[in-house]
Amino acid sequence: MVKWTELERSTVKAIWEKVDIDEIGPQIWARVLIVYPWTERYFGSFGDLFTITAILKNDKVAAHGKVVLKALDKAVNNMDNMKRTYADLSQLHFQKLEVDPDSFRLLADCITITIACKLKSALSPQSQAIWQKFLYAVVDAMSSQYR
Amino acid sequence: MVEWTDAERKAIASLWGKIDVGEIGPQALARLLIVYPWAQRYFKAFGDLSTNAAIMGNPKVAQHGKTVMGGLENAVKNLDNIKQTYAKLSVMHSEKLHVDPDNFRVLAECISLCVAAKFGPSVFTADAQEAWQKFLAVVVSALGRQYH
Repeated sequence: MVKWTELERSTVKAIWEKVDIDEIGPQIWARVLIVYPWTERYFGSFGDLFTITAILKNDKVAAHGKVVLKALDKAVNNMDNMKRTYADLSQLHFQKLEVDPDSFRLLADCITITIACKLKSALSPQSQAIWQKFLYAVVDAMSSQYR
Repeated sequence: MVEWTDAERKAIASLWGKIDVGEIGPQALARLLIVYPWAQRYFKAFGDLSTNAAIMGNPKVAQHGKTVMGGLENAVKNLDNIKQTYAKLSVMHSEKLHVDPDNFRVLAECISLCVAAKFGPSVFTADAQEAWQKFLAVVVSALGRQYH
C-alpha cells in the first residue's frame, strides 16, 4: 500500500481544490487526443475528431473530460485505498473497453501539464513531486485488474 | 525519418523563440533532481543537493540547466537531422557519463512542465504541446540512440 505523509495529503488536496473540473476536464481530454492521437481509437462514437479544431469544439470530448476528472476526485478522497476504489473501473477498462494501460500514464501526463498551465509557479518542484506520486498511484490502481 | 508538418515546425520555432534558456533550463534541471532524486547520482560534483532549497539555490545546477536547455537549440535548428546532430552527445552520455537513458525522458517531462507553467494554456495550447512533446521525444530518442 502506498504510504502518504501529512504534507503529501495536504498538498494533493490543496492542488485539487484549485482544479475546476468543468474548466480543466475538457482541456485535459482534448490534450490527450491531440498530443497522443492514437488514443482516438477508443472514441469512434465521439464524432468529428479529425482536426485539432474539431477536437477542441467536440462536446462529447468535453463531457468525457469532466467524467474522468470526477472519477479522479474519488482518488483524492481515498488515498489510502486507491486499488479498491478503482477496482471496478480498472476491470471495466480492461475487459469491456480494452484500453491499453499505457494510456493511463499518458492521461496523467496531460493532467499534470494542464494543472501546471493553470497553477504556474504555484506548482512548485515539491508539489510536482507529490502530485506525480499521487498520479502514479492512480495509474497503478487503474492498471491493477489487468492480467 | 521523422516527418514534421508545417504547423509543427512553426509551433516549435514559436515556442523556442519565447523560451529563455537561462530561466527554464535551471528550473527544469532543479525539478528533475527534486522529483526524481535518483538522478542526483550523476551530479556528485555539484555540491549541496541535500534539500530542495539547496538544489534550487545551487549555482552549478543552474549553470548546467542553462547548458542543457541551450543544447536544444541545435535540435530546433536541425529538425530534419536530430539523430545526427546528437550522435556525439549520445555517445558521451553512454560511454563517458554512463547516464541511464530513461533520464532523458523524465528531464523532457520536467522541461515541458516548466514551459507549460511559464506560458499557460493560451500559449502552450494543445497543438503547441503536441508539437513540443513530439520534438522532445525525438531529442530523447536521438540521445539514447548510440547506447549499446
